[in-house]
Order: sequence, then C-alpha cells, then structure tokens
Amino acid sequence: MTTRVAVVGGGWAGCAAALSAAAAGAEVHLFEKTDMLLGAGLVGGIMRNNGRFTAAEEGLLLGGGGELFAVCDQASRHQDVAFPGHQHASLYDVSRIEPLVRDRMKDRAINLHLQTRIVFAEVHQNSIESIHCESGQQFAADVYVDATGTSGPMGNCHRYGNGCVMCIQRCPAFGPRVSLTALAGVEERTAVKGSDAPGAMSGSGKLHVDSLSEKVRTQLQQTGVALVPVPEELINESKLAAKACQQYATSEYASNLVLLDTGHAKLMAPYMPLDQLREVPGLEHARYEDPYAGGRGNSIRFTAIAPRDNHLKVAEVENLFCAGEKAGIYVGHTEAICTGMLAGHNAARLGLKQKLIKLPRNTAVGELIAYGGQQMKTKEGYRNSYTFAGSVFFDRMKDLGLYTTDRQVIEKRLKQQDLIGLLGSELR
Amino acid sequence: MSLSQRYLIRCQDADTRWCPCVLADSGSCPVCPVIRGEDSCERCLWQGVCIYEKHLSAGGRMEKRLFRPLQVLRKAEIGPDVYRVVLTMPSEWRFELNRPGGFIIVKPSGADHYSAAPMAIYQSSEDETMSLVFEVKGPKTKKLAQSGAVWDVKGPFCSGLWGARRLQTPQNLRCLVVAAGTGQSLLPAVVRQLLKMDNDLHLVVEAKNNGMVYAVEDLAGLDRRDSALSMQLLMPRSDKPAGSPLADAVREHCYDVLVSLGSDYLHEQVARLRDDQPWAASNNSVMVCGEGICGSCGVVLDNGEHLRGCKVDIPPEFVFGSPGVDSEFEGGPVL
Repeated sequence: MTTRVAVVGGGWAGCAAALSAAAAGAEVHLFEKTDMLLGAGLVGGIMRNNGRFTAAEEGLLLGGGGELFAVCDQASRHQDVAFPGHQHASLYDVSRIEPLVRDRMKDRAINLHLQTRIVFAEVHQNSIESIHCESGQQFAADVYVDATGTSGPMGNCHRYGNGCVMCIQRCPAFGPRVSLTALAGVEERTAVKGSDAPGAMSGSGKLHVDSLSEKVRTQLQQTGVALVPVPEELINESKLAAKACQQYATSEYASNLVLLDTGHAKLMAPYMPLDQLREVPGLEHARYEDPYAGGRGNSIRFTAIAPRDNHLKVAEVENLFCAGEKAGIYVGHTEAICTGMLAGHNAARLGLKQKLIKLPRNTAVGELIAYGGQQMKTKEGYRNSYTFAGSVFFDRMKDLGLYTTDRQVIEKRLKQQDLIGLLGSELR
Repeated sequence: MSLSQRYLIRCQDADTRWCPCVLADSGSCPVCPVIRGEDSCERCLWQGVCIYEKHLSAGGRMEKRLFRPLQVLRKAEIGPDVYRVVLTMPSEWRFELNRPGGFIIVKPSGADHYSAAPMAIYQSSEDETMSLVFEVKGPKTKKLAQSGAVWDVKGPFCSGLWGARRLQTPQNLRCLVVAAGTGQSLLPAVVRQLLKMDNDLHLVVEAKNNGMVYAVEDLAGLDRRDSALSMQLLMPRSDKPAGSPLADAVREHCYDVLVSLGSDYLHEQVARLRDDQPWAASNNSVMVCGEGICGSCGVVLDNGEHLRGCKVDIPPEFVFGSPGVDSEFEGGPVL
C-alpha cells in the first residue's frame, strides 16, 4: 500500500513534514511559492538556545524531519553562544543552509515543486480532493499538510503593521501567502498583540555585515554576538510590546542592540529607523540587507492559525494536518521543525490507514504541542507566543523538569517510552 | 464548469495606472478582499501588486480615463449599414490597443454620456491612427454613423476578449479562430498574436445576415508562413453551426486552442463543441461608463456572484456552456 502526501509551504515546518512523511513510506510532494526552501528560515539562524537544545536532541532521536537538526548543526557558524537571556545557542549560516536542506530533500526522494503557489482547494465531504496551482494546474493527494505559515502577506502587513518591508517572502515577486486551511473553508485564529491589535510583528532584522564598524564586525565574527549599547535618548521600550518573539522582549534588548552573526548581522529588534540606527556607536554607516526595509517595520505574523488537535490534524477537514506557525503561536525554526516532523508522520499514517500518534507530554516536543493547543482554547492564550527558547513555555519546561542539556538524560527519557526512531522508520 | 477556479478572474486595470479605481474607492474592488471589508488577504486575486497598498497610499486620489475629442479621419460605409472609421490615436494608447481585446468607448462629440458605446480596435498603426468597424444596430450606432468630424473617445481598455491571457503563451499549437459578423473586428489582433507564437491557425468566418466578410483580406498581410492560414468561409446563420463545417472542423482537427469572436450565441455553440482546451471569447457585455459603476455590463456567474464585465477578464467557461443554457438563445444585440 502506498499513499501520496502533499505538503504546502516549503519552510522549516514543511521540509520537516515532508521528510517525516517520506521516512514513513509516503510519496511526498512539496509545494513552495518562492524559488527557495526554508521561508523565514532563510533569515533565521538561532538554534539550540535554552530549551531548544532539549527539543533539538529529541528531534534527532525521534528521526524523520528531526534529521534537519543535524543539517543545522552542520551549517553552524558559531556554537555554544550566550547572549542576554540565552545560553548555548548555535547560529547556522543563512547563506549555506538552503542548498544543504534542498540536497537532503532530494536524497529522500521528495518531489519539490518550487515557484508553485497553491491558490485553491477542491473540498468534497470534508476532505481535500485536489489543490490548484496559480497556473490552473491541479494536483491530487491522499493527505495534505498545511505548512504555509502565518506571516504576511502585504495586505496584513499594511493593515496591522507598517506596510510591506520586502521581507524574505518576497510577495511582490512570488505572490502572497495563501493558507490551505482557509482554502479548505476552516476559520482560522489570530494572535493578539499587547495593544489589542491582531497578529504580531516579527522580531528581528538583518544588517549588512560590511556596513558595521570594524570593532563590531570583529566581535561578531569571533564570538557570534555583539552587544552594542544604545544611547539613552534612543531607548524605546514601548516597541517591545508589539514583538512576536517575547523571549527577546526584555528591557536588556531595549538598552542594547543585540547583533548575532548568522551570515547577516541579525539585529534582535523588530525594526529601527535607519537614522536612529546610525546614531548608535559602531553602526554609523549601517545599512539593512537589500532590499529589506528594516528601518520601517517588519512582517506581521500569527494572523492565520489553524484549529487542530494534538495529532496536528486540522479540525473539520478529514485529511489535512498543519505544522509550524499554522499549528499554533509558535516562534522559531526549532518549533517549526518539531511540529512539522509530527504532522508529516501522522499524514503518512492517515494515508496508510494507521492510528495517529501524539507525542507524550513528558517530552519537550510533546508538551509544546499539547500546551500550545491547550492555550489556544483560552482567550488569554492568544496574547502569548510559545517557544522552547524563552517566555512562558521555557519557564514551564523548567518547572516540569523537561529542560536539560544532558544528552544521556534525553535519550533515556525517550528510550523508556520507546520513542527512539519513531518518526524515522517506515510504516508497514 | 470551473467556478471553483475563481482565482482565474483578473481585473483589466489591476496593474495599470488606473488602479485603484472608483471600485476600490467604494469598497468594491474585484481583486482585493481587504478593500471589500474582509479581515484578511486570504481571498486576494493576486495580480502582481497589492491593491490595498496602492489604495491606501493613493489616499482617495485616482487617475480616471476621461473622454477626449479625437478626429475622425475617414468614415466609409463598407457594406449595408457597416461602417469603417479611422480615428487619430494618442500615441500612448498604442501598446494597449494593439493587443487582443483592446477597445475604446466612443460617443458623438458633445453627446450625453449614455450615448457611449464600446468599440473593438480593428487595426491600430504606428502613424497614430486606429480603425473600427461597426454595424448600425440601435440608437447609439445610428448616431455614430451620422455624426461628424470629431468623436469623444475614452480609453484604452483591454478587457474586450475574455481569456485573452491564454493566447499569450501557446506555441506551435493548432488553433481555431471563429469570427462572426462584427466579431471580425477582433480578428487582426488575435491572428497576429497566435502567429507570433508560431501556431497553426484555422480560421472560420461567418458572414451573418448582411453577407459582410471584411477582415479576411486584411489578414493576408499578417501571414508569414504561407501554409499557416487556411480559411473556410461559412454561409449565414440559416446554416446551423451545430451541423456546420465549424463542427466538422472541430471534430476533425482536435484543436489545442479555440477562440470565439462573435455573439453570445456563437460562444454557446463553441462552448458546446469544446472539450476542455483553453479558449477565449469576445466580451459582449453591454457597456456605457467602462468604470464598473453604471452596472450595464453586469455578469452573473453560476454561484450568483456579480462581476463587472467591463472591468474583469473572466474565463469564458464561467459564463458560456453551462448545461442549463437554452441552445436556441439568441445572441443579444452588439450595441
């Protein structure tokens, strides 16, 4: 028996879902609107900080899409980096990561359909029968995974943010993000910003490394981090409330500019007008990476979250799973990979008519999925975002004793529950 | 029927300087759901630009097509009640009007706005002239036939051929173009486009009641490969198209692309002969203002959705070939 799984969205979540589904024995097709995989992962880079370390190790042991953590490790520019509020981070190189992931996808016989934007879903009796590409071409699969994310497109960025800033989604060139869940007729949820507006603004920007002072540049290259003090008159704490990444929304981030070396100089602030940025010593000649308009704003995200269960199956649609930000108010690549690897595995299970699985709550990944889902049932839950790396969920990990950097502890925990290789082995 | 493929509907103005238009200003943009008051971009009929952004930054300002007086250089009655008119053409209109589906809206100089009628561009030339062919059918065309040296003209418009985008890409395919009556006015642009892409072309021209076949001679110059253009001339409508050489041709040749230029009646015939190959059909919507405001061009799709025929490019299968349509339905008057 074979089954065909279509994954829509080629970010970290979609790639992880595709790898898990392929490992389970499905024929996998991945549809991505742009010309590159990884989506926001192309400007990311921060892995293994705080509780993400535990989650990454769990992912490697679970297998399937979890193998992407090995690819990230392989592409690291810096390991074991500390910056305010964060320990033992790895920073992958944004300019090297995509081809490595793409090769891995090809090695696993995943059919990649790049520059193929999905714009319609044919739904019959609560099941998606086929999806339509912008060209009008149609594609039918047994099971679908929505990994289309929640950021943008331009209309949302305009309405709820400061307008299109030409982020990595490149909507003007490749067309706006489209949600498969919404196309299937499911009403989506939206996160709420501190100021009661929908969505949240992405939390970091990217500067051109060569535009920084030699001192800052050297520090970045040698340590992976540069903390640049902000002159008193520029400190603006109010901006923090709007940020998606609450783990970086502390006052330390208001009084310093935190830069990380990911290939870009990753600026850990949602945005900063260029003239202000240039008043910061060391950044007198700074400029944002082209063509990104980081002085104006940042993308708006979390406006399109799917209702789902802890198998990551979308409510009301029989054959649709979700992953990444689509599956909850989840921040980060680690979170995307972790939800993706389960969604893809369960998609293959459904196609092969096997019982769907949940990950137990005494794993970091299982708890993130369960807790994120639980919070989405409360009104207050939409005011937070959830990540292994900080804020409420990292506190929770520590309280529950889930956070550890001891590989043996993690392995033992998974072994006891027979989880080793669970997502990486072929289903029969 | 593929109404589910609603995303194939395009606005003729979305990526032009006439966007945002009065429809956006009134919260009725056919492309942007946010302008229409929806909460998100999900149902955006993306056409390469964010109309919401344009709408906000325009702050209510918009560029409108206005009537301008253009000189009538020549007017000749080339058949009973059929006129060919040559007008001066603003040079910046050339690229829009050159394409399949280019049209303008005309009225006699100084006439009331409701006297305006859409006219397909028959030929446009580099010497900044354009020609039209029209048949006198009703009060508007009667007035135009009688009126003098200057017409009021609004343009350029480009939604005169529904499905026109489908003619941009076919290459080395077998195409059938059927033209009837004044539908012939769209022929030169369509034929030029299809030949440019090295397609094989069969042409069926139906003269209709007045016996006028005016486009065929003018096409001869377009044919770059001698064998490409083969033509069959059909007799007027008494020879029912369903059992006519048209049906025979379609059966025999397995065309990859069909183009129907004529009345809605003709479109229904072609829709019935068609399998599922791409096709285009002339936009016969009654138009007065060309802005989507007057409402005379309204098209109602099967799902009850109303669209403005003057504004949008609708895949013709959304409108023609539905099983419920009466086969004896007579094509409406052109003007």
